[in-house]
Amino acid sequence: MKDLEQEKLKQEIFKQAQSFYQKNYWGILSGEDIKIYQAGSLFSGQIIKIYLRLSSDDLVSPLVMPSPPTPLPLVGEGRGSGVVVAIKAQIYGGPYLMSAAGYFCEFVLNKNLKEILEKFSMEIFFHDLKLPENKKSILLLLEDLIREFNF
Amino acid sequence: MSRPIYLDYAATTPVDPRVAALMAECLSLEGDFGNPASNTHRYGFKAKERVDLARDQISEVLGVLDPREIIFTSGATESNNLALQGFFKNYLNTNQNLNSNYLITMPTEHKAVLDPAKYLSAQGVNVIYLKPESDGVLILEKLDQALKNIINNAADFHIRKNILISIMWVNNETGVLQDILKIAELVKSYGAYLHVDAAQAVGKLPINLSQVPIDLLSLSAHKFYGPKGVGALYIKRKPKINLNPIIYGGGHEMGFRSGTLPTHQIAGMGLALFLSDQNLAQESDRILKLKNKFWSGLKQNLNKIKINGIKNIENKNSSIPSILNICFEGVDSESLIMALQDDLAISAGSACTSATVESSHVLSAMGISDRDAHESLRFSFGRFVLDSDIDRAVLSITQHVKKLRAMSPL
Repeated sequence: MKDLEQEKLKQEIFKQAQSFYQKNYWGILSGEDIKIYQAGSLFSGQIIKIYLRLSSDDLVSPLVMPSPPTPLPLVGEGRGSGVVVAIKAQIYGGPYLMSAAGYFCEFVLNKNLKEILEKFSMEIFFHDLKLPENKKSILLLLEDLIREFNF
Repeated sequence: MSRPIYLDYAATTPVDPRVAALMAECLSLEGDFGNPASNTHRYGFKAKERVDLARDQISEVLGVLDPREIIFTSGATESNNLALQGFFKNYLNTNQNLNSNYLITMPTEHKAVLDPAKYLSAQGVNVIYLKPESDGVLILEKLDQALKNIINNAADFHIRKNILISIMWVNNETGVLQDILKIAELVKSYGAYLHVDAAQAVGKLPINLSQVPIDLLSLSAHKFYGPKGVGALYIKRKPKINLNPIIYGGGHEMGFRSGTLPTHQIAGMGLALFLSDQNLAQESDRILKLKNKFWSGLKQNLNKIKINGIKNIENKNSSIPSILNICFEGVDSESLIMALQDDLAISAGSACTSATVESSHVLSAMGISDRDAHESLRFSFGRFVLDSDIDRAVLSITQHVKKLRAMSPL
């Protein structure tokens, strides 16, 4: 019975990973303004590398422009500069990691560091991604990655 | 949407339509649905005729001179358990001081041998694992040395030694063949017994048990276009091998395996093996051509790929034409399976069975690194694979390996 449930879960993950596989998050961003973060190791068989482009004061994404009457945030805080306007990822690992990385890209996009730190929750990711218990280590990988963020 | 191309024939094969039709004849009221053990009416006689015919068909294909040496089981897993547990059960029940029990096997065996071996080890049987070379082949000298060591062991010099060797004919993950004839001759020269798990060999290789001194041989119908849930164990009668049953309840199958015989499955197995044998040489050549085409196509399109096992895939004496295990460097095998899911049905060389992804025990035993094992896939070809399927498969694998490599930070 447990095996059957695990198999069902695996099928769901495969479907989920397949849909992320089709998306456009994979690859690299290049340029001097690109920030690169990496977590995981070859030893563990899981590596995730993230390429980010952030908005600057003079290049604020229209999607994230604060609309009046919201007060303008301080520089480096809230929306405005330091918002992730483009993201690409490279991964080495299985479908669970692919799912998690794809979901992470969607989560990070259009958020600034404060929002990312505030809203990232292992529990929510775990629930949304329907990860099996024994794949929870992938979330630790994402947490490690976020800890590296210094924009 | 078209169905994915099936390249997992080593896991199981589809039932041949002719076999399915025959099986249907043994199921309903109009057919031979009787219990073959019912010896008081026509339904039982008819069912027994079907079973006897299947036993004869299997015996003939395998060169078994006495059909009573074929014992029907639920499949190769049960056959392997009956062979291993049944052999030692006899001696484990007797005074331990009078018997010294040894099982020699390989770490590249199927779990259906390794798990009973583990169980027997806990029961007091000395289990010796002989590692293969990096290509998966067992060097005879290793077996010779192991047998010598047992025979010359001073500690149990004066007591009876019961030695069973269990070696698979064809490895299910790599397709590597062991030289069973030479192994059997060597085993017999020491007066030991040989069990062969031939699940991947029967129906694919010419086998003549009247010419190879094997004592026990396991087979499974669903590996040669027969139904799942039925198999057989060949148990040599002369010279007799002592084997205790592991399932009791009626004394069917010469007392070795109790339980009502599934007429439809047994009849299906008989026909399936007969049909496989009819076309063995041509089918084998055709499948080898498909495998060569597949490998050449991939080699042409992709770099950093390698075969796990025997590299010379053209040599039918070293590996079976139907199985190919490939390592795609830089690509996680599960991700590749996922990416290919709409196009191909294949198996990984590793399995997610616990908290960590476990490497294939077969590849690990061959000395292949964990990383390479995690980047390996098994492709297995069979009767219904077409030439055009190979073209499609090569194209799809090429595209997805390239994409996954581009996605990789390595």
